[in-house]
Amino acid sequence: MRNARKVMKKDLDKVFKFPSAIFSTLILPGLILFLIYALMGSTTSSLISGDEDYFSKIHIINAPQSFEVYTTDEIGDELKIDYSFGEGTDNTVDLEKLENGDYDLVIIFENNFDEGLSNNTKPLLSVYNEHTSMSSLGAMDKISGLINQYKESLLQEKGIDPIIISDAYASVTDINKSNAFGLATILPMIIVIFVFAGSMSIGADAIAGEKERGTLASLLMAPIKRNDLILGKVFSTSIISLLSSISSFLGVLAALPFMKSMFGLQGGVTYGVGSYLQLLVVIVLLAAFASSLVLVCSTIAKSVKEATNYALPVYFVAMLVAILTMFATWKTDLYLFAIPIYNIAIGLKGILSFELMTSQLIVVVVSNIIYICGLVFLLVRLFKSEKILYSK
Amino acid sequence: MKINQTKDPLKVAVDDISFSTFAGEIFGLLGANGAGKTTTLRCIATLIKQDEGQISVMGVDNSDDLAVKQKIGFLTNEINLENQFTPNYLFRYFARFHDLDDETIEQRRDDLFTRFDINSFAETKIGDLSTGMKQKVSIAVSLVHDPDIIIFDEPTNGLDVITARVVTDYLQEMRNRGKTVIISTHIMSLVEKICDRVGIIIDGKIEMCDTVSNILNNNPGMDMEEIFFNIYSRKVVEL
Repeated sequence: MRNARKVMKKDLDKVFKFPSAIFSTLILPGLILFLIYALMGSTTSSLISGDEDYFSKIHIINAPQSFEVYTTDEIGDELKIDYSFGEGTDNTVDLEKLENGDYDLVIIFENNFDEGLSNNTKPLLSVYNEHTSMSSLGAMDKISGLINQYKESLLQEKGIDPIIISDAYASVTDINKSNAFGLATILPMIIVIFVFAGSMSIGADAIAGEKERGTLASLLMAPIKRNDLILGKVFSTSIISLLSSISSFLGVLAALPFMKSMFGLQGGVTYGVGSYLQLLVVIVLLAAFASSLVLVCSTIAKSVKEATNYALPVYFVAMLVAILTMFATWKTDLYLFAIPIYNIAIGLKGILSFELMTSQLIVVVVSNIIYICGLVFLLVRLFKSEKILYSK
Repeated sequence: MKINQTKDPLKVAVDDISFSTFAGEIFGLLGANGAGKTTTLRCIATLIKQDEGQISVMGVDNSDDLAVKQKIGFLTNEINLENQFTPNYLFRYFARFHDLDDETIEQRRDDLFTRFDINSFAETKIGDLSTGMKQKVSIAVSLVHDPDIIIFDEPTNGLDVITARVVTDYLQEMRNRGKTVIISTHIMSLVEKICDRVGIIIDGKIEMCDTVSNILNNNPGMDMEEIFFNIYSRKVVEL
């Protein structure tokens, strides 16, 4: 294990001791993502705000008296909102209309909302939009400002304790879930693609590059167990690809303000410590899995170019799976959480959208540990083959 | 010893090779390209496992690769050092695999870097060095643990005259210090010049193994090159 650490240290030094390597491996991915998404976000934002004459169709159900002042014709004309109203508890038809584009937004107030406010029974306010519709996102922009004003007026005019208001509106979880859904749609794809890209850039060179340059022979002559050598390579490649993906992640976070209108993110999304830990575990497993997979390609190959060629199909599969996961509806069949790569993507999606169950997380973690162990075992076997190690 | 290690799965790379080397001598494996010299040396150095037979390095079977590697310094032109690191970095990096303490590492570094005139470019990246400089660093790195046995595959291949001279001088110096030196080469003059004993290997078999002086004395009027070609021609006719 001590020797594995030494191998790992040298491989890490390859990156951390050279500013150009630090830039290309750790900074550039985040920077590129930031630029791409900032540009995309700005473009989308201008697309939405570009249609200034469009009247958003917002349907309000059980509108309480306290909210009437925000639904007047004056407000409607000013903000370009075409209000319609309804009542009842069964809103299926209205939500279907939203889905079909008859409405841009549906706001549902719980029955006797004002009474609930007065009695502190935490009445529910739900806002439904259609993520894929630009006009719905535009309507969401307009209504979120009004809801904030509404909250402030309740506080000022009714003298409700701010903590109670906060508690009452905390039960309005749809916005948070909606934001989470937006993140859960894009982040898993970005994370999977960038972790694999990071693994490819480092892993392809880790063994094939050393073979090609003749530097692996000097390492093989050192009194070091081949298992330690492999573990050192797996650790260093995983760490670099993990850091690279964190850089990408930070790039996405930095670009979030530009992406709000693109993905309908209103305000923020609140994740607990548990969610962050789950994310960390799954991303670490993804980095180790991707690294091990690319290292297998690198070991079989005679050159970096060949290793990249072997790893490219794997990368494309990962990319495809990640993109498909973006559009996949949430399913709970446990076996899905054991499918390589796909399980990571839906695992990430489940964590970000608050839908992942403990049993599903366990399957994701255990199955990936098994896959990683299998790949490391395969690497050990390959390292015992002279034909593979000395192929040139 | 028998090894099936060629691109042709049916061809035996090395067959029935048997020889011993001793402390304080330079043993040369002389043969044409593809004769099996490198494969033999790789087996001794535990980089390849032979299919049959035994190899003992100072009483240690070569199946115990870690113990054997502690006793051997293996050099080949196929071994390169990573371009982005400096000689100082790589020397210390490889030294730590041998569990040497910092003081010993620095002492060994001073000795070897001075011996091979590396100090002036000890902080220069390998990628910026000439072939001769790289070769000197490779030698220093592979001798970091002061091994009792030095194996050098084609020691002067690709080297300029001056660096080649530095290398051959060093190998003789090691022999004089009681080390065992094994080299493989296809350069006949090198064998005559520095080897004490030689094994002539043709098509995976040792056809002759004796001291250089005995071989030359037994073939009066012939130099090593003529002797080699005589054996080679005879072998080709037999095949």
